[in-house]
Amino acid sequence: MEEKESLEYSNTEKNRTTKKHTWILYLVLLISIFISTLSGVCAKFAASQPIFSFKFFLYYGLEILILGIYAIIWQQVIKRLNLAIAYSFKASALIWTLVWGLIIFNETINATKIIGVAIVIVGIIIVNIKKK
Amino acid sequence: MIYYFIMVLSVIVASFSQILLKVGANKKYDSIKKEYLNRYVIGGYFLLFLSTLLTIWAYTRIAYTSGPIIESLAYIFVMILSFLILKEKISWNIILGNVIIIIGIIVFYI
Repeated sequence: MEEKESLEYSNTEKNRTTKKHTWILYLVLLISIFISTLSGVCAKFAASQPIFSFKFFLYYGLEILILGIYAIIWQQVIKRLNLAIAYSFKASALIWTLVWGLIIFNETINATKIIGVAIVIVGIIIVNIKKK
Repeated sequence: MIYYFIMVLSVIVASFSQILLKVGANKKYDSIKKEYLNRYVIGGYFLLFLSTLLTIWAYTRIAYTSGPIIESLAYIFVMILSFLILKEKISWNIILGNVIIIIGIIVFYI
C-alpha cells in the first residue's frame, strides 16, 4: 500500500531525486530492507535441509521470491532518492541480523554487537542530516 | 591473500551493479514493465549475480566473519561511484555517516 502512495507521489513530483521526500518513502525503504533480511533467514533454513529435498526447495524458492520483491521495491526507492543516501540505509539490515540471531537462531548477543548496531544507526542518521 | 582480493572485486562489481540500477531508475519509461525490463536493470542484476559467484569463490578460503567487513566497503564504493558517475552531490555528512556505518559493522563482527 505504501508503495502505491509513493508511486502517485512520483507522478506529481517533477524532480525525482532531490529535496522533497516524504516519510513514506523512508518507511518503504526501511521495510524493504527488513524484508530483504528475511531472505537471509530463508537461506539459512535452506542450508540446514538435506539438499534437493522438498523443504530445501521451499526455503530456497522463498529466498528468491523475497529477493525479487525486494528488487522491485528497491528500484522504486532509488528512482526517488540519491543512491548514496538510499544505499546507506542498507546498513539497517544489521539490526535485523541481531534480532533474527536472537529470536530464530538462538545466537548469543554481546555488548559489542549492540554497540555495533548503535554506531550504525548513528551513521545512517548522520548521512541523512539535511542542510537548510 | 588473493581470496581477499576476489572478495574486494566482488564488492566493486556489486557497487557497479547499484550504479547501473540507478542509471536505469533515472530514465523515464512509458510503462511500469519497462522500468524493470530494460538493459540497465537487467545488466545491474547480472552484475549482482556475478558478484555472488565471486563471493562464493572468495568464501572458500577467507574467514566467514571477515566477509561482511570487506562487504562494508560497498558503502564507500557506492558513494564514490555515485559522485563520479551519477554526479550526485556528496556532502560532508554523507562521507562521515558512511565511515561511521563501516566502523559500526566492524565493531559488530569482531
